[in-house]
Amino acid sequence: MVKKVLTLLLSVVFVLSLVSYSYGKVTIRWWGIVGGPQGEALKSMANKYMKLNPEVTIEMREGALGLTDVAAFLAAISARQTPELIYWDRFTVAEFAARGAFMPLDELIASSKVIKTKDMYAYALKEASFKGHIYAVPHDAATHGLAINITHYKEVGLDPSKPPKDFEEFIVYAKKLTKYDDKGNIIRCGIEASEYFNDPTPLVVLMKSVGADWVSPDGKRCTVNDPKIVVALDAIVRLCDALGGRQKLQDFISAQEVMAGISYFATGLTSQYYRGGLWLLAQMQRAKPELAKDVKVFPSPPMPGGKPKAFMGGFSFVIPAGTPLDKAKEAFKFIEFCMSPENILEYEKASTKIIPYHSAINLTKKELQAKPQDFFAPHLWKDFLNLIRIGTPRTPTPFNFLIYTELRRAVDNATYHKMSSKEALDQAASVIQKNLDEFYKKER
Amino acid sequence: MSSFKKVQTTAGIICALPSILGFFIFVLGPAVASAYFSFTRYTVIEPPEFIGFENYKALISEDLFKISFYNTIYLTSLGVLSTIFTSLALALLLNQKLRGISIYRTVFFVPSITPLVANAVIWTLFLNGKYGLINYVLSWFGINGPAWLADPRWAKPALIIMGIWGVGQSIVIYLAGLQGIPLELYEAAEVDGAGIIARFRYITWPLLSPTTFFILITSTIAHFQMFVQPYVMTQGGPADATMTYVYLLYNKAFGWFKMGEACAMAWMLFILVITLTMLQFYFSKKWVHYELF
Repeated sequence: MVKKVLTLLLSVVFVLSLVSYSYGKVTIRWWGIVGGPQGEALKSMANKYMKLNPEVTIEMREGALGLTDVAAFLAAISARQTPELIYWDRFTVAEFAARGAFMPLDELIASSKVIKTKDMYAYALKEASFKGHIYAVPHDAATHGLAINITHYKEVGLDPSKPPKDFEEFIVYAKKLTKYDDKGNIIRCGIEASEYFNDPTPLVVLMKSVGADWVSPDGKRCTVNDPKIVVALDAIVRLCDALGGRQKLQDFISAQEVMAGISYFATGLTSQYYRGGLWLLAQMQRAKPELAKDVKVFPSPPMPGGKPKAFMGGFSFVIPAGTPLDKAKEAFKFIEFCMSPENILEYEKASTKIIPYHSAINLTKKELQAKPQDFFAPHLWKDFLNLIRIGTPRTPTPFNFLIYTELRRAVDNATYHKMSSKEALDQAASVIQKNLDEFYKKER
Repeated sequence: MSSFKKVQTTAGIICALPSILGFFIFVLGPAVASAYFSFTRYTVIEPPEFIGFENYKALISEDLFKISFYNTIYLTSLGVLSTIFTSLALALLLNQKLRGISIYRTVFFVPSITPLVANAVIWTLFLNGKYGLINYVLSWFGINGPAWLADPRWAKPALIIMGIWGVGQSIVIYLAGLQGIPLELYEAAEVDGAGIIARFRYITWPLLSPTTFFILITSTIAHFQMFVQPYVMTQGGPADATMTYVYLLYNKAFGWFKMGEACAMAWMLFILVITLTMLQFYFSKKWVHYELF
């Protein structure tokens, strides 16, 4: 009898201790922690937050979400086991928001004293929004511009203070800067050739420079076969052909596979990076720090008659739909913590990415002025910061990932001369349009 | 039923229950669900909407689906042939009574137990157009090798060459088959004056036919499901040259919000593989010999 009573008593004590331990504890499951220095900076912020708020536990799951690893998120939705917070590539926020995967954050942002929509750069806010609602809190951005190697320019008699004024001149410069061996193989390339086959961003920058876009303003009609975009793709095809053709460029590019994610430009093997970003600094720091002195950054040259545009990608915080409001509020508190001045600067220096808020950029500029030694290649930081004024978003649609896939196929088909630029873009347009029609028909 | 038998039956059911439950929950359940989803417009995020055969119709008229189907048939037909030929040739060599033969057998088997992703990364380097091992070896013979994975004409052959690396398991199966052939048959053939080619043609090949049949079936199914190589090495490129059926299925399911179409693709593949397997079984009567006499 005594034994039974003791066992019961111990069980009650055990259960009570568990309850009291978990009472008042908050757990935020945070997914999408990217790799590299950016990821380390994110983890550092989470650890600091947990230290300041012992009642909060942030469980972090690595793996970039937004373009890759979405399978895990979809599985979590099926199982109704979504996390409370995700670090998400802004590029695909709209397509998940359009399907109800994310919680609208308008009210949380409206009541916040730290995060204000007025403070956000317009392009970042546009990427984070869909149909009048904000679904993501923009966190960082990668400015894109034309990075040039000054020594290479001088070697071939080009003036490094006068970058190509448009894409036609860019082709001429690229040809001049490319070196071949006796057999005609490229040994130094005038462009970072992998840009043109890995993704279609140069085409996107060119289309933006002439005011073209991949969808009509109402978002319902695919316009990737707009004549202006066909001309832009033609220009990319001419660039490839001028340097010896896709096969030859591919042969040169293929060696990059052994370079563990370091671009050729960061090692001095190419002369120009058409959509170089601040990440180039991290790569140079790792591969060839002395190169930084030999680099200058300008806006990427537009199509003839167009205006230079700097495409600005980046990551955001999102809260999945269905997250209980109290948990969402806790997650939002952490987002606000990440946007404190101290954290902004720490994150920027560690990740070589900027925070696309006016106040944050002013803070960065002041810090750059006051403590340039804290930044790797401060002169390039200034160049990249100057590009923000011409920043442009990739227009949010319910099919951005598909659009990119189809544009990449179009660039492939055109540069391998399997199709003309028009045929390749017509094919892409037909696939995308079919999906848009289906989506909006369902919405009606 | 005696009480002992009852206890035995109950124990048997209890022991088998985890496996039976696992089959229903993790295999049959998802299979039935995917059959239903194949008739729906389903993004995973939103509830499925029944649309009849629309997914199947859309797939049949889609260019990329046709490209992926052609690529898969190409990779399967040549890949299966190269698997059978290489593994048989190597098994015949490894069946010799040589000193240290077990070391050679291990060496050839090891790549087949290496994770496919690791293999894919290594082969991306081997097949590198500029610094790759394959082109380096070719250069000894004065051949200027192509940019393999970067060239639409050579990307598929490159994946087939890579596939040969993983024939270790087929070699082991062939070796087992070879060791099951009675030596007396070879001795009798030698007495009758049969040469090495005749012995292979009339003894080894017919008696290995059940083994070849097994490898043919399993290898065909494996090639139809090729996914890791394009996922890790080429992302379906260049110019869709390595867009395989299952890689497209994955893209539709997890990239383009078309889980319904992806399920339809899975069922089409299932029906295709079942049909091909049944055909292989039907024709096997003409060339597979299960009994000696």
